[in-house]
Amino acid sequence: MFEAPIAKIGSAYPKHTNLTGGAEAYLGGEMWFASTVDLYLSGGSGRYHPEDRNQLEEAAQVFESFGYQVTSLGWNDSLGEAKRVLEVT
Amino acid sequence: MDLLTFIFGPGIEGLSAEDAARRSSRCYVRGEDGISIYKKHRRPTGHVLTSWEAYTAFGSEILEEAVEYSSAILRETADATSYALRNRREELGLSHRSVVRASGVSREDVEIAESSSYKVSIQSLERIAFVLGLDERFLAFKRDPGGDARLAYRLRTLQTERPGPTGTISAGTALLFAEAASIIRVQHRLQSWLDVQAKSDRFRPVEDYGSPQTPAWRVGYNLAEHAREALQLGDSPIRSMRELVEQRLGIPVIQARLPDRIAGATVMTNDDNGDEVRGVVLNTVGDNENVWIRRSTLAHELGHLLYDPDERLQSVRVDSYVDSQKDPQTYSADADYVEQRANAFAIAFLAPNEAVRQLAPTPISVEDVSSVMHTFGISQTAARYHIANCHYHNFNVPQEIIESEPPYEQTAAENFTVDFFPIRDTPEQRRGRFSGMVARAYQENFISAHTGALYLDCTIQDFQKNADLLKSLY
Repeated sequence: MFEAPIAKIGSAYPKHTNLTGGAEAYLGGEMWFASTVDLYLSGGSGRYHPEDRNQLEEAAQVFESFGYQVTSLGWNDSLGEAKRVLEVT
Repeated sequence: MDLLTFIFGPGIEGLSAEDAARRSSRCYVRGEDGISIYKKHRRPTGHVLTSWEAYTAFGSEILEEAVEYSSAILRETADATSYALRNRREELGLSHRSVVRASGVSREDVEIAESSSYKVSIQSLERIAFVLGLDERFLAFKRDPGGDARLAYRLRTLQTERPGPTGTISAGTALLFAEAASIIRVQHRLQSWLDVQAKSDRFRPVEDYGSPQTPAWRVGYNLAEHAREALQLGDSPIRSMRELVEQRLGIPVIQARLPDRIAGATVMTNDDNGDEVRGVVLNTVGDNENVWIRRSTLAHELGHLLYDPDERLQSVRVDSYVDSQKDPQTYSADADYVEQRANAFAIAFLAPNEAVRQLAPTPISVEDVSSVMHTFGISQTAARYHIANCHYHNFNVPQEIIESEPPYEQTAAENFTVDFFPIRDTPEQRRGRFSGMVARAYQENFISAHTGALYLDCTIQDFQKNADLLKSLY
């Protein structure tokens, strides 16, 4: 994985393509661990972002099947993209 | 892939960031808390922006994040939008009800926006921000999105402590002046993007408000002569004051319905560089319904705007009909020299003294008075006192009432923006040249149709359908 070619765009951000070497992947995003079992996830990825809210929910279900308590940040209808901010109601 | 291509898409190789943003066909979309590349097939409900708008508002770093993570977070703090809207309304001393009425946003949304802004559409949040005089582009992105605290303080004061002919102003009028600040700021921005030259930059404030040797009205006459020279007007009549102020001087003129004792006002705000920019608000109700009076009011406000130092003008200066239509040479114990100078400027700017002496030679007849009125487009009251003043009060001016209305051409030239506007929803204060600048900016790809619709307070469809016409009209 660490030998994958690094995309050169002069960016300050680490990228998912640094991990895949630009190859295909089902879904990319961000994860935060609040504890060993509490997991928060978003679909924040330039290349591998979810196409719709269902795809994001599928990712959450995968992690739930591994035994995590998953909180998905959800879908942002204004942007047509996954949310990157957790709204606490 | 280089960074600019990453942000603005292909086809911009070798260009500077600004040129790349201008030429890019990529659009972005913003919601309350974020921004991302606009993907039509996903039907996002947010505000679509051109690359230029997104770049000039948020910069390349945010746009890079938007591409890299599918969206960029815009919120400076969790409650940035709610705080800004609530704080601004309170600064202005307004109720929710006033904001509901001015913005057209439902009461429920206006109230929710001040606590849980993410539950309200970005379009509604922007509409509220615009009427409050905030820079709607920076909602969430900045905790203080361009709200000028001095303007807010001044408008709050005018609602409670204003003695004199204009009286206190209502919450609705205060909001109209706050909205005027938004219109002025946007118009200045669009004019700068469209490279429309503003000749008012050539004028400098003059501190001289007269002395025992040279009274304020004399200074006003001199300033009018100076302005006519600078604008190369000679002694010719001014066909349209509105056109001269808006097009030649690049000063926004906002025509609006104000209480009938108010003639007009100057409003100050800041442009994108933090520099002070001003515009004129002109009442279309009351005496100004007669375009001869309206021309005097506009000339009076121009006198303030071109020559009064900032400390005299304050953020908002409101003028009453009583003050702004006075004979400048009328003395009173409580004479306001700022108003006296502006009145003298106004009448001598509209009707140069030497030209009036030639048109109304002694002995002065009723026909001479009428001729001065029609030639220079001024009221009979103004014509009478001005002729008398130009002849140093050495000759009598006939006082017979002249039954005469402004000719159609003069009314049409001044009224143009008020009488006809193709989009019914657009409020009066956003019509005219402002709408023309918005349409031009849209057609030259500076702003999106969504932004155009926000600025003209209409549907996107109405804006797109009428953009050509607006551009050709204004």
